[in-house]
Amino acid sequence: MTDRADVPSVLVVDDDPMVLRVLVRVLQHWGRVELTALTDSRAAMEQLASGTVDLLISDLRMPGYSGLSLLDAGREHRPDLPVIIVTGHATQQIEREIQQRNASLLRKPWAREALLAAVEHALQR
Amino acid sequence: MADPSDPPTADLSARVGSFIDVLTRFASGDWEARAERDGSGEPMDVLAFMINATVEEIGDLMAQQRRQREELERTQAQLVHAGKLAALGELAGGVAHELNQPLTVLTGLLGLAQCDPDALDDGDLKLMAAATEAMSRIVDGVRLFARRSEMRRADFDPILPMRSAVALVARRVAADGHSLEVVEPDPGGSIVGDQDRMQQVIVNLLVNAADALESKGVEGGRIVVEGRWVEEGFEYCVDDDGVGIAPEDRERIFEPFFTTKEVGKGTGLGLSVSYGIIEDHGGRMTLECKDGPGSRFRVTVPRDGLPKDLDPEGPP
Repeated sequence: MTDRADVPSVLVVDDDPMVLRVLVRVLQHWGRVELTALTDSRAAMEQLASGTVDLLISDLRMPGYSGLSLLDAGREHRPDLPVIIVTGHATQQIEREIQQRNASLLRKPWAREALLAAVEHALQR
Repeated sequence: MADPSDPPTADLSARVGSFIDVLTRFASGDWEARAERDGSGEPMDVLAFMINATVEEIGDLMAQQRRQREELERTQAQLVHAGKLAALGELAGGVAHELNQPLTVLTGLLGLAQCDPDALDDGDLKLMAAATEAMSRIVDGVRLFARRSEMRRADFDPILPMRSAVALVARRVAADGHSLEVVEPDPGGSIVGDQDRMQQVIVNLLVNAADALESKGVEGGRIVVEGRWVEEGFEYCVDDDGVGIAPEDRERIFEPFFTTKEVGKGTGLGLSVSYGIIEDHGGRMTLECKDGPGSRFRVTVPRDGLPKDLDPEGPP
């Protein structure tokens, strides 16, 4: 069994339970991360405040807090927190905002390889 | 007193007559009508000059007004076109957004299966089935949107679509622990329209009512569907004591892709499609404010409001 300390802790947030489950299934099968999956952005906010998250993967538009709000809150606790924003409708404005915050953008519908590449890249930074 | 047979007086009345003739022709649309001048500079010649200057001025103003009206009509036509494009853009954007979620489910799990054929479990397969079902619901909704004009036109008893709609939804309402009450008028009488579409509208209202009761999370809710003859035609009324619709959402509920339901539950097309169907029947659909909890939708359709140029056999 891998030493727990070596396994990055990933917080996955999407208000659509179907999409969230698929994210979790693919990442679980990959097996290199420890996952916390939440549909509620408010609960995600609390989780980020604990400072134990190594990577945030979040949907952009959600009730409560947007992915960008979660990103900002997470960086307050951990300024170098890697973040992947997942969205199906990234406007140029959104793309700019993600880029300015030095986060990654993953477009829906994503392919497994694209998700894993984004996660690997984010964790190596 | 001047004698009309006196040559100057006769000339004068002839000139005045010609001026009246010019003004009459001008008033009846002959913009080119002008008074004849003799260039003498005498009062009658000056009067002719002034008449001509005035009609020219009026002619110019009218031409200007005509140009402005034409421009306004063009602008209006462009606005209507822009409105249609905006609605189409909104629809396309909505479709893209709605399809993205189930597509993500399918591409994600497909990728998993491609990398490890044994990775998918029963839950994954169910999820894939739900995703494809969601996608076909969206496509059906869009198809109905596109084919709104292709309606069947026939006489039918308006109670029938209500009964068949109730039959489709009753099991679910009972399973959820709620009651569905049906109030019917005496049988007889018919309206002209598309019975299947009418059923679709009532099913949609009943499903929304059932969802509203489910969202409330308490058993023992009540849905009442009533049909009755009114002066304008026939009226359906679907009443529930569910969660109700927030005042800020009331104006938007008939918009395509607007939904107050939880993610994955509503396409946001049901009410807007239903609204279109009722509009095509010459009727109207309204959300009523009520004192108690829940919502009440009222649909009124005239006895024969569907356009008559429809193919009576319906679409092929």
